Amino acid sequence: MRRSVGHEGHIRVAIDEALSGLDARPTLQYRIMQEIRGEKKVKKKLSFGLVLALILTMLTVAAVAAAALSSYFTGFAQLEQKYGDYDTWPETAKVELVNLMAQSELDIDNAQVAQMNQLSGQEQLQLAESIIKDYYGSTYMSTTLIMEHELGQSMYWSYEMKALHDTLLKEYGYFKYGDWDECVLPEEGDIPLDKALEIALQVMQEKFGLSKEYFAQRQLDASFVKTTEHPEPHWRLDWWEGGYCGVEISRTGEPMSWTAPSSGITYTAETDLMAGARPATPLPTDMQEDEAIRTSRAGLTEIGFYDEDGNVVSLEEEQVASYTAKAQFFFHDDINNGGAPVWMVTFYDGDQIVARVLHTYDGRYMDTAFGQQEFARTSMRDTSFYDTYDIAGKFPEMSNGFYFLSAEERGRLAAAIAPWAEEYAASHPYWETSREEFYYITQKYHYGIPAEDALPQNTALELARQEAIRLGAMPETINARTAEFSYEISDPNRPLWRILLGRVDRQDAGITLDEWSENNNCEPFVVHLDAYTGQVVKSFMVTDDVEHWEWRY
Amino acid sequence: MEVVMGPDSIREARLTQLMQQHEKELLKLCCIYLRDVNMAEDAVQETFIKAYRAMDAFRGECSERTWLARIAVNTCKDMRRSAWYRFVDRRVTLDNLPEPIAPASGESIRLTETIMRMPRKDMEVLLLYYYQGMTMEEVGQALHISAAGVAGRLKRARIRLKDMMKGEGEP
Repeated sequence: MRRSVGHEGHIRVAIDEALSGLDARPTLQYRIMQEIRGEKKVKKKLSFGLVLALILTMLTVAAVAAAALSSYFTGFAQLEQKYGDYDTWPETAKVELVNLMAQSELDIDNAQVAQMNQLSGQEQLQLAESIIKDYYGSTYMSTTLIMEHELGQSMYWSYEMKALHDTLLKEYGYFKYGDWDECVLPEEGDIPLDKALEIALQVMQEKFGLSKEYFAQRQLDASFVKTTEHPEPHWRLDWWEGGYCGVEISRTGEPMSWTAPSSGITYTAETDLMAGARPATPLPTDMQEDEAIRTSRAGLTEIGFYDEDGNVVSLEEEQVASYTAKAQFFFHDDINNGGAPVWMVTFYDGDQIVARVLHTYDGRYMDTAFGQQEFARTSMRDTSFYDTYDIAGKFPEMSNGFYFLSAEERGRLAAAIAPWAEEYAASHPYWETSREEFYYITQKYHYGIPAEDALPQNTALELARQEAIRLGAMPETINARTAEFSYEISDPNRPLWRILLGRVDRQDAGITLDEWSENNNCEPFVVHLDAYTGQVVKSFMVTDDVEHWEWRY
Repeated sequence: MEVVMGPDSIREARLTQLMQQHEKELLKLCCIYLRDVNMAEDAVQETFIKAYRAMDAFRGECSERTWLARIAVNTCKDMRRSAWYRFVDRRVTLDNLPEPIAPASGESIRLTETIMRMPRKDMEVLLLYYYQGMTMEEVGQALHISAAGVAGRLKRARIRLKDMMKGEGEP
């Protein structure tokens, strides 16, 4: 997959331009600082039953309030079905809505409602709109919006209200996109919410060592839901504060998946971390096997874990010393995004796994998973080149990305950062596998400022266009393609013009939609030319098979 | 394991710096995602509060910009669970947003509005990949899907965007 140069390539420019009026909000910063300074840290021991009760109470209060409003929500949805979007409602519909609000005992002025019903025509409409606006503070409404007005953020509605909402949308025609999860009500025989919650808390403790107190302070987002992936309805219990985590539980009470609060990795019973491991050999500068074991063993005595009763337990030194240890060094796509290898040391008491400890290749502690727990923090990458040398601060023109620089700017940037790149490469042995953009633009390729006696850029562009046409680009649209230029000096004796001709609009190319999906004449082309002779050194059309670094830089 | 916090004043200073550097860009990201300036402000506020709380755990595994965008997009996702967005999809315009400092080109407005109208899954990969400039791995990490999944979504999103820009596709 490549970063396209069609519409998509202009996304950043378009959004920045269209939303340039959105400026930083001084009040926002103030609000944030107030909030963090008022933050209270509460840490106390709570019984399991109390935790369940605390969490469920928050939902129950909302549920009771909501149940009384169900008929109002249904009435509103019926109006939507009858009249369509709110902003196209006829006058009579808004009068109907006000009467519905009055019947549902919303907090509106009944005298005004009576007055409205005495009026007719434009006067009646104006008063109806005024009552609605006074109540909602908005001139636009929908079933979901009125529900949020009464119940607050939808994620924290009771599961019953979520099911009502989705039923209303489905019944009245707005639930049309297939990839949305659908909330439904549990049926007889399905485990109830309190049981699902109890199971979820146990899972989070067993798998990630998260205590019940952790959850007592966080609001539960509970849904009984069916999804495209799991059409069988099941409980989904999520917590969003302080980093998302969640558990999915089948209607019969089986944990289906559990998501770690830090890495966001979702595990299932079938997850086998080591199945995706790619063994590696540590470099001489990396932490070595004996050191990995020694460090991990020492760490085990420092790190506590929660026992079944929620007490923090630390392992004694003698105990840890008695465990056998096995160290593995590997790359894994779920760990550091596959960019750098890690050490995992597994400790055994007999043949039982006591704990697994994860360190980066250079010995930085990442995480410990006791017993059958899963790893939660699996990403600890090196500080990027970009951040290490504050590229954004020093080269503001880079804020839009390398792609937007001219050939001259690329050359100047390359020269300026070359010494840092050398320094960084020497101390970051896994820079290449990190796939950071700056690896490619400083190590893989070298750029210069176009030489005065080299082919002019426009001449190079013409030659590139001819080559693209030879490869299949349509001549009629060749001039409509955007062009990006680099002057590559990786081989100082043979500098190259590297030209990227952007994707062309399908309609401009006169290709029908059916043809377009199969027709790659619209795709970008890359042409490398000898900067002096104009001879084509390399040329190709960019397809999904081409690695991004082969054409993008 | 006991977590030792740095002095609050240091963390606050760091947070202030993060806000100065990234607030505007995050506002745009959230605004596109949520299609509402006020909700976007709430999302950015929530993002920085989450970042403040997680500051000690952030070990530079990615750039700060990426880290904040990841928090922001998940905050927006959570806010978008208020499913009324399904309903207002067709009515998105930039009229309700602050006027651009300089007149934006018609193409920029149309492209931005089109992205705002896209289904969530398509929009979020486009925003993170093309607007935030994340790698596919980083997008995957932010959205809790595999890099291969990101590639698939991006492909679909690009086709959809193109069709929508041509007025031939529906989100």
